[in-house]
Order: sequence, then C-alpha cells, then structure tokens
Amino acid sequence: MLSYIARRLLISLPVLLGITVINFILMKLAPGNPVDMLIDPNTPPELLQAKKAMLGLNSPPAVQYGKWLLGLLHGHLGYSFSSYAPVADLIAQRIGPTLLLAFASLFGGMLIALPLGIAGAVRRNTALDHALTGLSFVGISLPPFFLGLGLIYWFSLKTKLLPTGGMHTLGGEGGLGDALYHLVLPASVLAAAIVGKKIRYIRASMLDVLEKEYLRTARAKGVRESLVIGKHALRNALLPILTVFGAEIPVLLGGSILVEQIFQWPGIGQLALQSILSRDYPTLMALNLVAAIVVLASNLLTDALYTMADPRIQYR
Amino acid sequence: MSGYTLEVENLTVAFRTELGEVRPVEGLTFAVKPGETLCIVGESGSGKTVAALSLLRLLGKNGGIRAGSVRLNGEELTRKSETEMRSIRGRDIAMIFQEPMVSLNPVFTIGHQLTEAIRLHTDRRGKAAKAHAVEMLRRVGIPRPEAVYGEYPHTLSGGMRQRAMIAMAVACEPRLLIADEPTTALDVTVQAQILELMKRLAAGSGTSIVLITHDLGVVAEMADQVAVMYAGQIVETADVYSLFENPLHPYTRGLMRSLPAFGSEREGRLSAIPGAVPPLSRLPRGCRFHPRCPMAESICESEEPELQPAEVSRRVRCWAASGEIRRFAGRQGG
Repeated sequence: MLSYIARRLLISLPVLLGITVINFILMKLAPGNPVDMLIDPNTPPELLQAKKAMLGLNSPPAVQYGKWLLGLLHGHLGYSFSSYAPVADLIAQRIGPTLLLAFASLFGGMLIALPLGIAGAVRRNTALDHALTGLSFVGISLPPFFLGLGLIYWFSLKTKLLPTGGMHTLGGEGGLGDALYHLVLPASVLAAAIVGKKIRYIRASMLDVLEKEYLRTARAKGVRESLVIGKHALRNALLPILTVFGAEIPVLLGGSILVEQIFQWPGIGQLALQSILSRDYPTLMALNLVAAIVVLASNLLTDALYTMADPRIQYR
Repeated sequence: MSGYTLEVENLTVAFRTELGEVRPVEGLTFAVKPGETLCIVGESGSGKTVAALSLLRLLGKNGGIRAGSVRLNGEELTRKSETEMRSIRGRDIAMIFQEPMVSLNPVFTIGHQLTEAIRLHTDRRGKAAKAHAVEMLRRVGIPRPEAVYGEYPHTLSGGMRQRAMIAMAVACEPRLLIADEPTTALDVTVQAQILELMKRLAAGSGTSIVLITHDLGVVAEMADQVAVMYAGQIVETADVYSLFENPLHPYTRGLMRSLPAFGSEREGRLSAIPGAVPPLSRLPRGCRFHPRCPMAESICESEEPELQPAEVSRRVRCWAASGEIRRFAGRQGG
C-alpha cells in the first residue's frame, strides 16, 4: 500500500508539470496583460514598456515559463504583479478559510444527504421518495448566486439571524465561534448543491444493495431491520459513494469562487477572481498549481479510502 | 406435545404485484419430526423457495402469509409479532441459501458474521463468542479455523463459504434448519461433502431439516420424507422409499423418468416433461398439471383435485392416481 502511494506520487510529478505548461499557455493566450490592467490608459507608452521590462514580460514566453519553473524548484512562487506581496504568503492567508468552507459544506452536505438518500431507497416509490427526488432537483437546479442572495435576503435582512458576509464580525473579538457563525450561510449554499446531487446517488447505490442476498442472510440470522439497513446494507452502499466523495473536493474549490464572492468570504476563490481580472500571472500560476495538487491528492485519497473500505480491493 | 418439530397446515402465501395478487404457495401441508429430513422437490417456479422463506416470515414488504398455520414445537408462528419472530430466526429456525458466493456480506469478516448470530441469540460475548465461532468453523470441517475467522468471504472457495454459512446457521443449535438448494451452486464433489456435513450435524443434535432441491439425487441421499411441489401446491408426499419405488403422481413419474440411471435397462434418450410450469398469473383451470400431463382426462380440465390420502401415510393430488391406487390395491390383494 505504501509503495503504491509512493508510486502514485511519483507519477503525479510529470502530470503536474504538464498542467503548469498548459496553464501558462492558456494564460498567455488570454487577451490583455498585467500592465494594461494595472495602469491608467493615459500613461505614456514608454512608461508601459519600462514597466513590462521590469516585470520580465518582454522576454519570450518560453523563457518566462522557465524562470517561473526554476523559481518553483527553489521553493519560490514569485511576487504578485498587483500587490507585490509574495504569492506564497497570499495563498497561505487564504487557503484556511477556503478549506474550512469546503469541508464544512462537504461533510454537512453528506450528513444531510446520507439519511435522506437511504430513506428514499428504503421507501422507494412512496410520497416521501418523490418529495426527496423533488428536493434534490431543487438543490441541483438552484444557481448558487440566486440561492445565496435569497438566503442573505431572508436570514440577514428580514430576520437578522445571520451575517450577510465576511468571516469575522468587524471590530469584534474574532475567534472560531464567530467564524462558524459567519460560515453558516455560505456553507449552506455550497451544501445545497451537494445534497441535491448526493441524495440521488446514495439512493441509487442503496437500491442496488437492497436486493442483495446477504441482506436476506442477515435477516434470517435475526438481525433487526434497522441494522440490516444501517450496517449490512449501508457499508456496501458506501463503497461507490466514496468515489464521488473524493471527486467532489475539486468541484467544491471551483464552486467556492462564486460563493466566496457573494459572501465576501476571504478565501482562495476571491483571490483567484482578483488575479484573473488583473492578469496577475504569478498568482494565477500558483493558484492553478494548488488546484492541480488538490485534484490529484483527492484522487489518491479516494483510492486509499477505497482499499480501507472494501476488503476485496488491494493495490500493489 | 404433537411430537413434530414443524407442522405446516394449509399454508397459503400471497404477493401483491402490479397485475394483482398472486399466490406462489397454496394449501401447503406437511410435518417434520425431530431429527428427520423433509425434502421439498420441484422445478424452478414451483414455489419451493417462497415456501421456505414463509416459514421464517421473510417474505418482504409485498408478501405475506394469507392463510394456514406454521407451528414450531406446537407454537404458532403466524401470529407472532415481528420482534418475536426476530428472536426465533437464527435461534430456533436457521436457513442456508443457494448461492454461497453472494449470501455472505463481502465487507465483513467470516468471524464477524458468525459472532453476530452468536451475540444475538446467546449470552456469549467477546472471547467466548469468538471461541464458539472458531469451534463451529472447525466442526464444519474448515481447515485453519482461527485464520479463516479473520478473513473476508472473497478469499474462500464456494464450498468453504457454504461450510461457513452452515457454521453460521447451526451456531445457535436451531431445532429446524432450512436449506434452500444448498448444493446447487457447488461442484459435484463438494456437493456430496456438504450434504454429508449437514446430515452429520443434524444427526448429532436432533435438528430437523427442510431441504429444498430440484435434484432427485440429493433427495435419495438425504430425505426421510419427500414433498413434491408443482405450481405452488404439493402434489405428492411420501417417505423416500415409497416415492422412488412407486411414484403415484404423473408429475413425480415424469421427474423420475428425466433422471439418468446407472445399470437400468432403459436406454436411449432421457424423457423430458413437455412444457414449463405455468406462470402464477395464468394458472390453468382444474388440475394445475393437466396441460402437461400424459394421463389427463376431461375431469382434470374442470375439477381441481384435493391432496388425498393414499396407501399408508402418503398423499397425492391427482384424479388419475386415485384410480391407479385402486388398481394398485387390487393387484396387491390378488
């Protein structure tokens, strides 16, 4: 198992390298450049040229990429073109809130979806099942910006139960409780989509398992029905769900760009949007690298979880 | 006390389907003495498995016992609550299934699945439960029982899995063991071992066995009593010797004729019963077997025969056989 993980990590390196090359090309193909985005349109061209030279934008793209890669090998992600802060610091500040938001919505969403999906499967084709199907379609179909604004309108403006945005109360003490209080609305928006998708998935997976002979064996042993479902069936139904669980993590990072914008959540998503708008190449390259690492790591995590959950699967 | 472990009387099972109610089992009557083995024989679709599951009341959401009675040591099971039934399942009545490959849960170890039954129905916990489970594995002839205790089902062969299933079933010393085609999915050489094992275990503890099979070879090997089922009904019951000696129902005879036999004078092709078991939604009027019966007469098409006593302690459901019985008795007398 350990040698398998080591091998997978080694294979990931060329994949990561390839991803950075493609990212760099895409970024260069995009119209505009950092200097145009930065500076007053009435600035004299000579000044613009000087600025470009200073940022190293006049050398050929291949050289620019080579320099970035060389820096990376030495552990340097470079400096932001817009704030001149070290990119590593920018990401370090922002990654925590994003991870908090992503995992809160992932686990919260799964905690809600799991019992609902099971209930739908066990009571299939009843009014409850149809209601859950309807609910899941609402969850999938509601765009996050609409649901987000709706929640802000209702919970912040109308009832004043929850804050409209941010991560800490301005001028407040801060702390974890305060952060969690601010987390509720953005996490709910992200979780809604997860719940919608996962109810269907868990229901289907559970339906598959409910017909299995080994459940009849368990019943014939005298196992109570709640354990037949909650233990014998669920353990098997969870196997395919684990795969989508891991695949959900990268999707969450993407989804957080929008949600962080709506709720002013100080995470990676906001940083990504700002650096795209200002063509902040070093920050973008670093963010893409982080995203690529997250995707590869979630895949590896999924495979590792799978071996732990299913005794029939072993990697060598 | 009645002297019987299991008495089934006029048992009728109904399922709700989209096409309305169907009755895969109708008017089932049989009884099993302690330590005795009853074989229920029939083709696919004759209702054997449903009959077995109905004894445990494991018919699912859409099925249920519509009429009749099931008594275990004189105790009526059809009126028990679900909770009471649960404590009977696995403790008083245990069941072995056809497909050992899919009847064990793939994500739990053999040991876990064994001790689950032991913990449910006995006072054994922890080490005592494990010791008992390992002992059961040893008793069913599994080599390295301590190691197998910790293994997952997929590491065992079909025969070993069926042994583990048997260990699980007899772990709480049930009074009745129901085996639904326990050897159908296994190699022929393994079949004999498994049958031998069941016989030995039952003989040791006085457990009665209801064995469901379509294989007359298994019947000859195992049965004390035999019930032949066709389209949800018992068409003939007899002790195993009389049945093989002199099958009364045309269906039983058809089954016998479709068997190859060593050293018999019969040569050439095996005969088959033409046609198939009718679907439950389109049962024929009269005798359910008459469209396939070589002896069918006009009465068979209109009147349904009862299961009638014949000879000593035999019963048969057939108009023609009733006449046959008279001729048979006449021959004996003359």
